[in-house]
Amino acid sequence: MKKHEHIYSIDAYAYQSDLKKYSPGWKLLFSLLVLFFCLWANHMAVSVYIFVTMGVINRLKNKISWQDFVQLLKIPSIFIILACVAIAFEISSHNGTISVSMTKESAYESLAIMLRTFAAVNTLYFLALSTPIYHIIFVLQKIHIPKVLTELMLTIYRYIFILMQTQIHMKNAVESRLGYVDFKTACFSFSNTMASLLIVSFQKANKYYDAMISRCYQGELLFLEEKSICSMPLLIGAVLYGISIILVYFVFC
Amino acid sequence: MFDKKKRIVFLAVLFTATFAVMPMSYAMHIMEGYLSPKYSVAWGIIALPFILWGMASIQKMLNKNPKNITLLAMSGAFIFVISSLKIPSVTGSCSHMTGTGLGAILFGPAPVAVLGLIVLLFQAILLAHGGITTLGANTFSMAIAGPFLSFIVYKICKKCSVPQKISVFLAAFLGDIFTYIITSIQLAVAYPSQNGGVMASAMKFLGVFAPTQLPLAVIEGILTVIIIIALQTYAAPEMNMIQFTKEEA
Repeated sequence: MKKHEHIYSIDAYAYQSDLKKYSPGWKLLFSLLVLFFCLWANHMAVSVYIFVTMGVINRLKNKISWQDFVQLLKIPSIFIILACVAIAFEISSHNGTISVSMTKESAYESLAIMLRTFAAVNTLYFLALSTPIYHIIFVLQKIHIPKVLTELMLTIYRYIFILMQTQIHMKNAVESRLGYVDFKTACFSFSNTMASLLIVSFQKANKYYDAMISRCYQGELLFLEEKSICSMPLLIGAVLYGISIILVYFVFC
Repeated sequence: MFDKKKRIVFLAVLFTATFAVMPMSYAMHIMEGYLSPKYSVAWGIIALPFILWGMASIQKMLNKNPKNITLLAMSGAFIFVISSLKIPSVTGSCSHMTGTGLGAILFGPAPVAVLGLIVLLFQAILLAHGGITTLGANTFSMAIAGPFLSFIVYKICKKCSVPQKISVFLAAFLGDIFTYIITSIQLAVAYPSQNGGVMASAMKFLGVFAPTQLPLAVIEGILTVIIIIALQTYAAPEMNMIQFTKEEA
């Protein structure tokens, strides 16, 4: 997976996942419950357990390759490491001398937060890699999130890929003309690309509106919703998984 | 003495490793799972009134002219794309614009709050930046606080007839800095320091993120200026279109 393509990758994985056909509402609920339990428990054993099991699910059920999995875990790592360093170290000043110190408790706390964050991120990946955005928006529609918001989400999601494609073409054109040869040129090229992207996007917006109107658009985009399966074994599996997390919590607490 | 030296060496190695090995720096999105539940919920509640206000303003724009739906959606997609691209940088590590300062100058802060919320949700699910539980906190710092300050700075500069280039730069630059300060405060409130409370902790977070965020803010300011100049040169009709939307908001 090339880095600049990872937006395509997560989306692509979501469409080829084994879990895609199952009810998105349950998947959303399941990941949110796991997330909140993970945050609430704030316990190393629970975090490690969730991290490992979610990793296994992502590998086996969402069929993500190991290389991509590592790439995905690298994305949040800079934030996690920096933010946990800040928690671990205490800075104090006495009579003009500044001292940096680390106590056992603060080190333990920052390690616990680091593990918890990685576990939570993995749970987020479970959701992102198994549920296409469309399905998530359908769920949001069902729980009566205002129509303005879901409508905007649907259209924005479609336009993102159009703009991405346009941007890649523009960037290739600029790069083949030595547009990124040094820092100053790169700044100008980048900004000009962005400006023309904005211009193009507004022109497209007009055209798309005409296209939508000519197909009887009345303020609501209607999509055929795929039938999702609510399988009993999977539901039982999810419940068992939840119980196993709680067991881990009580065993190690 | 030896211990201290060892610690300094360890710190130096850690920092070099962090900045050398990690090629990505979306550093200011609070990652999934970093905030405990009560702070996640609290920041969500704080962000809510702004979102409702933004939604009302968008609804008003749509009632006035339904055509604005594609325009708004394109703007949202544009903010997403601009924030997902690597920008040129001096150090070789890649960083990313927030794009919300530009959005606030172009579209006004109210619609940007809602567009920012959607963009942040998509960033969490499609790019793995930020998260669902931290959505409230991220929305407040990036889609509400930053754009609002950018917009206010831009308006004040315009009133005081500061040259446009400088006012755009200041708006984008200060908006970025403000986002960075608010995020640090959010982190500090969640994890106050043991012997200095929230303030000391906020200083720590500000210090830790400064090396990535300060140059980024300057670069974002410069890029925003060039983008605005290019837009005014090549896209007068389109600019009128958004000027129109901005007055609505």
